[in-house]
Amino acid sequence: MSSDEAWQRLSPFAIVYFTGRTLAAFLNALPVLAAGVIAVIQSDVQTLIFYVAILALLIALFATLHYLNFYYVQLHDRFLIRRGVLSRNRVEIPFNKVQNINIKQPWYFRPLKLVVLSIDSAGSASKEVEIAALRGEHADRIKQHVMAFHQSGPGVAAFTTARAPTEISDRANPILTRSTWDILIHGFTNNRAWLLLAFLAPALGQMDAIVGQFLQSLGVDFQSWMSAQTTFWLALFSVTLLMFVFVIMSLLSMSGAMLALFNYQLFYKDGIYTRKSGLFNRYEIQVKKTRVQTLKLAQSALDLVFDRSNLTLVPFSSMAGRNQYATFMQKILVPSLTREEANRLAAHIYPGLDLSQVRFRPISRHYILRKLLTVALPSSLVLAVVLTPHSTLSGLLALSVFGGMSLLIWLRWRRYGVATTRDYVLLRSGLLGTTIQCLPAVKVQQVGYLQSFFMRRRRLANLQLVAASRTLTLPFIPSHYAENLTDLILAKLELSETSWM
Amino acid sequence: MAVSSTNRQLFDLPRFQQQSPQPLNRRLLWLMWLKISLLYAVAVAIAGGALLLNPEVEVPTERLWYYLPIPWALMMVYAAMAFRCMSYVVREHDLSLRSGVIFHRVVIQPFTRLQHIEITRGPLERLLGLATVKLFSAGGAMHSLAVPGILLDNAERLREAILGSQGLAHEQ
Repeated sequence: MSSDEAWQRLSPFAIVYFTGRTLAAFLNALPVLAAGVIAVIQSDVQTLIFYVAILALLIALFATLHYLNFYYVQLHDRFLIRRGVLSRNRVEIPFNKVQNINIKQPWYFRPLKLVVLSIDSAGSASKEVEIAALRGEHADRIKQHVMAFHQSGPGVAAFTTARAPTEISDRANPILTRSTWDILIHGFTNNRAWLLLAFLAPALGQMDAIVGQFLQSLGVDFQSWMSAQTTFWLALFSVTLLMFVFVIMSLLSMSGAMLALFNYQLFYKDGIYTRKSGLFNRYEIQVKKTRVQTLKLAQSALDLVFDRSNLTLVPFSSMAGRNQYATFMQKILVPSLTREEANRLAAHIYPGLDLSQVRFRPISRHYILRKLLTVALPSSLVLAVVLTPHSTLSGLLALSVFGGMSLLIWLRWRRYGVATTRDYVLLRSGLLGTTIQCLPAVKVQQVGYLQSFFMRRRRLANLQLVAASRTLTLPFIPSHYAENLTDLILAKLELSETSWM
Repeated sequence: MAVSSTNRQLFDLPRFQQQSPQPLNRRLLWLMWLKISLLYAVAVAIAGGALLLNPEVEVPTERLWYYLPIPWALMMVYAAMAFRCMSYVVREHDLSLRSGVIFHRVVIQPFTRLQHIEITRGPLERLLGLATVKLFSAGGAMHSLAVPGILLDNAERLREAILGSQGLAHEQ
């Protein structure tokens, strides 16, 4: 397949687009160039004009160079793009891998009836390619062509046919509901206060100022009051304050949970999970079963008291990670499940997965040794060295810090566990609470096998399984186990035709 | 149903550790050396300039000249070691890249999970006739696999081979 015959340049009007982009890049860099900018602004008018002219020339030059170096070809099944001034890029986007195709019209293209076609493939979080200054109808044709390609290909499906044997319900009958009590427990055991904040977002700017002022007015008296009190009262006061903060936070969190999760219903129909919930606004989130990349079963330390856990269906999305609230609204969170409910739902989403049968194997004890040597020991030594001139108790303090850190490391080690079933890899982790992540082997995108010099001698390895939504790192597992798992996963996804989407 | 190392079925699997790795082109080492030398020269120039502008800072100038090449030499040696540790394997369905002096790392990218392929050439790479082949999966830009130091012709061939491979063809 030769691709050099039909390289096309953009319309010269694209220079306007590139100018806009360069200008935007320059404006973004302004804070970095702050010193220079201040120097220029403070100079007299003539020099200012001179610098602005130079800048305009440079931007125009850059935009032109970008334009001259941008070529594209639309083949039957893919786009080829050559671009870049200093560092040249060749991008190839097969149409069936396109995640998103959008037509935008910046204001400066409106009178010319030109548009920008932006094509997003799953390779990275940002837009991959923008083809500027296309005629509107041409862009439309390309879009139709790409979308047609998407529908004709086998693309999705495949996994949907594998139906779970248990309850398949229609819209009218949710497969799962949560009572108000469940939601309250969830709010109490998991911090959902920020949901409340997100809800109040518009008013938040002023809230900040009010709270700030309040604290400031408090601060003055507070300090003089503090110094006058004896240690006993101070300790009592701290404890009360802590309790007070805890109660307030719990209340906030519980109201946040109620706001977002009240009257929780989970539906399943035609391979799509739908979550409906909310007190004032009803939120509806849909996730396609085939798009669930990983399952996360989390149990916070407080959840242990009630023996509840929260299941999250993590779908693939190129928008993930922008902000906490948006990310939350893309996943389906199923709160406060009892053990039996969690197992049943997990089996519904991932057929053949029986969480009650999974036996986790611990990771190597060398994890503890490694963390002690690389984290706990250096930091407590530094602490001892820094404190010695100031305090006679420095040794004791450093020792207790070392002890505390060792305890945390041991707790973390104890929580780690790895398990594999025929189709799934499971990782258990956590400190006080636990999180179990489950990744189907066919959803793996890339495998990384890591070994330090010492790990090689101990025949240990870290295995990194990269999925479209998150990366699972299985630390300090026996190297033969890691190798076998790698070979098995590779064979599974290279030889099976199951798509990851 | 847990998979154990004694599972008999495993013995028939292709093993990723038992492939003969292919070293990268020697010009890559020159590229790494060139980059280090240029960066070092720039750093020394900046430090030297700063010293010239601040004459009150006293430096034993003659001694400094002796010591100046040492960090550079260390970096060059480290680059050579890093180059020796780097290799790649192209199999029918995947490409793996090995690297790392102290931390060994094998990253395996199955072709069926590729989103797109990019060939990138920086100014120095163009000077040496090299190219970097970048493989993007849906794992995100953080987990794109960049194979550096491939002759331009080979890079094009590699790209064609991957695009034409069974794995990607399956989905089309």
